[in-house]
Amino acid sequence: MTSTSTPAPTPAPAPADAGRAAAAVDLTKVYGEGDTRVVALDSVSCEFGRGEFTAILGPSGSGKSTLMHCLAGLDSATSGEVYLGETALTGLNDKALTKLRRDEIGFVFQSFNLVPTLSAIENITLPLDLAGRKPDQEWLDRLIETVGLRDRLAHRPAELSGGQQQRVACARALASRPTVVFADEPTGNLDSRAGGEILAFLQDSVRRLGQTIVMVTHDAFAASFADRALFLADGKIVDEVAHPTAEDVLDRLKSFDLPAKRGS
Amino acid sequence: MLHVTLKSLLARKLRLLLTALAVVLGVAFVSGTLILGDTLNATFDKLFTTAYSGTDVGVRGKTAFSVSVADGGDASQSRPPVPADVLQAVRGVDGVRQAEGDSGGFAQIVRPDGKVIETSGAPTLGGSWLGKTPLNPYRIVSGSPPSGAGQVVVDQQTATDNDLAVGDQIKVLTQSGSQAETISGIVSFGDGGSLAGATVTLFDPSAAQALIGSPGSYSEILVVSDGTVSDSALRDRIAEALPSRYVALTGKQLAAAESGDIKDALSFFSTFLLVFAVISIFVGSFIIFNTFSMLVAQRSRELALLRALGASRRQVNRAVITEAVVVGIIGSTLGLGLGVLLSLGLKALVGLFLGDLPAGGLVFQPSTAVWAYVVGILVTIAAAAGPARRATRIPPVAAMRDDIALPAASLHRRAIAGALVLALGIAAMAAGLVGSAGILWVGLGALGVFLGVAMLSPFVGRPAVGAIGVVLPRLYGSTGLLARENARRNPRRTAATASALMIGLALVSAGGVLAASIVKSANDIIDRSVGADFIVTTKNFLPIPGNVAGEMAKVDGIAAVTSFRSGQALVGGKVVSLQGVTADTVDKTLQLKITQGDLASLGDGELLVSQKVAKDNGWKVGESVPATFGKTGAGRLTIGGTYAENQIAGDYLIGLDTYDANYAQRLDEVVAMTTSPGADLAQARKGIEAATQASNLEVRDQSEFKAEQRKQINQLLGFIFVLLALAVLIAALGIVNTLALSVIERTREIGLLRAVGMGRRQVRRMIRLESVVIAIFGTLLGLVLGVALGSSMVTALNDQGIDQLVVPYGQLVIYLVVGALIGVIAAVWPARRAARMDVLQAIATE
Repeated sequence: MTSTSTPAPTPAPAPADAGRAAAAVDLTKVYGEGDTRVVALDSVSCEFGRGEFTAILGPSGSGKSTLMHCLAGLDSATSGEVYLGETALTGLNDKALTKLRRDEIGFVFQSFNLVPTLSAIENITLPLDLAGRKPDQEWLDRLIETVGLRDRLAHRPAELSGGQQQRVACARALASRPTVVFADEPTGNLDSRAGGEILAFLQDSVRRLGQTIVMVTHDAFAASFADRALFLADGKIVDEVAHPTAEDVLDRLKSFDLPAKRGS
Repeated sequence: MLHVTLKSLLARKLRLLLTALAVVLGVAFVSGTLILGDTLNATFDKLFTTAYSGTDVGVRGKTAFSVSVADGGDASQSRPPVPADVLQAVRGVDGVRQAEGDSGGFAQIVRPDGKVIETSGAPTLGGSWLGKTPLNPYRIVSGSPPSGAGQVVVDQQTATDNDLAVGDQIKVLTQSGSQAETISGIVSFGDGGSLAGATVTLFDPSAAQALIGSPGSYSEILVVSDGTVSDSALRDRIAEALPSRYVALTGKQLAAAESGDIKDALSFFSTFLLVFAVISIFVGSFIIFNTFSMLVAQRSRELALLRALGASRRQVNRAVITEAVVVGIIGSTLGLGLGVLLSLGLKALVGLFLGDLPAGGLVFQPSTAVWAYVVGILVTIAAAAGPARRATRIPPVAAMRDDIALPAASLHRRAIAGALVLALGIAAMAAGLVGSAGILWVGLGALGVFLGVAMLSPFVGRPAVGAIGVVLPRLYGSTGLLARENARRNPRRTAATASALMIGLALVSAGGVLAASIVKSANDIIDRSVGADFIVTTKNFLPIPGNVAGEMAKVDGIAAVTSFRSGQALVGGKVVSLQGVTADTVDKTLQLKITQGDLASLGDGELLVSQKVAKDNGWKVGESVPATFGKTGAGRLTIGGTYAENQIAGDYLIGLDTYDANYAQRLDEVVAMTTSPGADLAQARKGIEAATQASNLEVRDQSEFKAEQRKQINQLLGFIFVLLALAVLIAALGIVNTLALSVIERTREIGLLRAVGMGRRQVRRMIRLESVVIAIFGTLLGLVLGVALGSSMVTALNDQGIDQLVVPYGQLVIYLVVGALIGVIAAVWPARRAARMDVLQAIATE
């Protein structure tokens, strides 16, 4: 396997404009009614700066996935407001949301979610294809170089290892130069080595390409690659750490774990 | 997006093929029917083009009224023959080089060995040998032309088939009786063209006129132009010289008119076949619908991913529809190919009923291909539209969830829609059956009923399948339980699969009810209406040649003999079917109850009508009503009396004298007779059989006559079953498809069952039982619906004489067994696939 931790050196782009890439303001999400009423998010407010790599952490059921789904326009807020760039998502119709997902958002999933019938390169260009746009060949080459899959492009997902599949998924997320990439437990299905490569790649894309990334994880090691860690518990942001180390994160998680366990 | 769709299709070739198969069979049926129709049309076009190839202008009688071919009418019945003085007038027209009168009529050959040459439905034609003239489409191949009475020429095909040679002594049966003839020559039609199964016997012109035509007149006059004038100009000139009851046509017009008459008769058949093609396609559309629903469900994760990556609803919709178009194109292409083969099969099938059809190349019109693709693609798109719309409702967030439930249209809405469609269907059927909206509405209504029941069937599906499968856990333990629950798990899918089978079996059992009711009613009618001890007919509804009635009267022990001849006429402003009968015996051979007047009044120029007709028209005995016959034109008949309803007699009776005066062809169709009191029936029968030995006549007593009716109805029913078999086959394929797809869908689950100890045999049994439960559910729905449909049809046909409703329970049980067997057979392949699954791989599958 080609190592991806040392990509070809490329000049770092100009630092991204100051300002937010995404934000939640008083975001509340409630599922169900009456007895089955569950408050998944309780007045959450947070901002994600451009060119920033944020990890959202928290135990199962803390609302971290819901927060990401709402930020990405996949799920609607019960109250409050979500912004992508300066666009308010509340009240956008399906068509506008679709366009937003296509042009402004990239996704990396835990289970890779590649289309099994398409080759690696076809998977990478799929979002552009859906938008009916021609890929920027220079950018595409740079991405492929960075993820180190040049000699695997014609392969189907089934012919790739898990790490390779997730690298294809990362390249796909970045192909349309989205405003934000949302990564949902991107290393959850990978061994530590392949996981480390993916995280290094994500970090690299923030540092060198100026990409904004929001990553949901419960893995302290994964969070240590981020510029900032947000901690969620019971639908609320309970803590925030800048430039977290794995130890910082583990300590924090342990402290939430106890009440969370008691509660369940 | 297009290539995403295409790649996804190509990656699942087997599934693609299974889906396409439903389209293939339906399209094959449609294109096969169209090819058959075009082939037959081309055959008859060619035949009549050859027949009139040397004729520039023809003169024939003007059609007095339009006969109903569907009611067994013959177009030539509605035209008067052309008298000899008209021929003289035509010969005098400027531009006419030659004009000849032709006499055509019935002529059947008896071989030297005494056997009557029969066709299986094609006519046995007699005509004039017109000599060496362009007017004569026949050429002498061997021997010489017929000269004078006692000589005939016969066509090559008949001669070859029956070992006839020049010099052979044969008999020819005509309306004038049996005639001894010598074969003077063998002729070819044109340059060896096909006569479409007809036999041709040509006489010397004056002999033809005497034996098969009418003395002093011709069936038509054929003209050759001297070349100084165009055909149409000559036609117009001749027309000016004609009396008002005759028309002139160019040779091309004559050929077109003749083949048009036959095409009309055949188009009824094509339409009939097309109805069954539509049924097949309708059933196929259920399969397509079901397959696409399952494909969308299976791919919901992939579709959600596409949505998350920015695909719009419209793109997802288009992806599914594109898939449908590809399936439609592939299915139509294969169906078109299969249709060519199927047209050969249909031709053979049609041949059983219409008689041997001419051999020859199939005619493939471009329009057949156009129809095949239009039908195949549109039906696939229509059936996939619902699943495609549902695919667009998959939320993008589903890509990130493990449990994907496809958003389902609310069952509430489905119930309302289903009930509405059902109600509309019933209303349309009622309008067609009870009202006067016509047969098309019955068909549309039936489609509505099927669709409505199919939409509602998920509601009965869960309890019904549970009830059907109630014994399974007891018989097969957990395997049986799993099978039953699998069948109940997705009521929509089970219902759609079962509905396809339902339609086929509903039509089969409706046919069964209708046939059983018709047989019973017909038997009752015979009991009520027929008084004869023996009935003589020919096979294939051909007329009876010669004076059979006269010969029967001479047989020992026979007391009364009645001839029955049928025809159409314009009576009181309506085209009606009437019968010419032997006036003084008809009340003995039929149980005819005269209510007014008497039989003696069935004399020349008089008409007996049923009470119903007299009442409907307000006719009184002694009243004179207008009656137009083809041969004699407008005239009047006097109502001589009325009689009580008698299905065999029909509504209009005239005496034989009146019949013979007004019809060119004077042949019996049925001869019925009673024996004198105390006569030995067996002895009388021997006498009758001895007298009919030389001809192809069938002698039957009343019970044999009833059996014959039953045989004919059952034969027709068998024919319908063959045509429905394709729809049932498609439904069976639907079960195969559903099972195969649900096995793929349940790979992980089956792997798990295998891992905890389920054996391969048990897996097979589980799938098989599930299939049988679904099949029985569909069959039961079909039987219930079929009996309801059949009963309402019988009720509607009450005034047509079908007054007995019979539900053939024994047959229904057989259908149920057949339905269960279809379930067993359909499960063979999916069950084997499921059993072969590698346990480890199955569990690892996501």
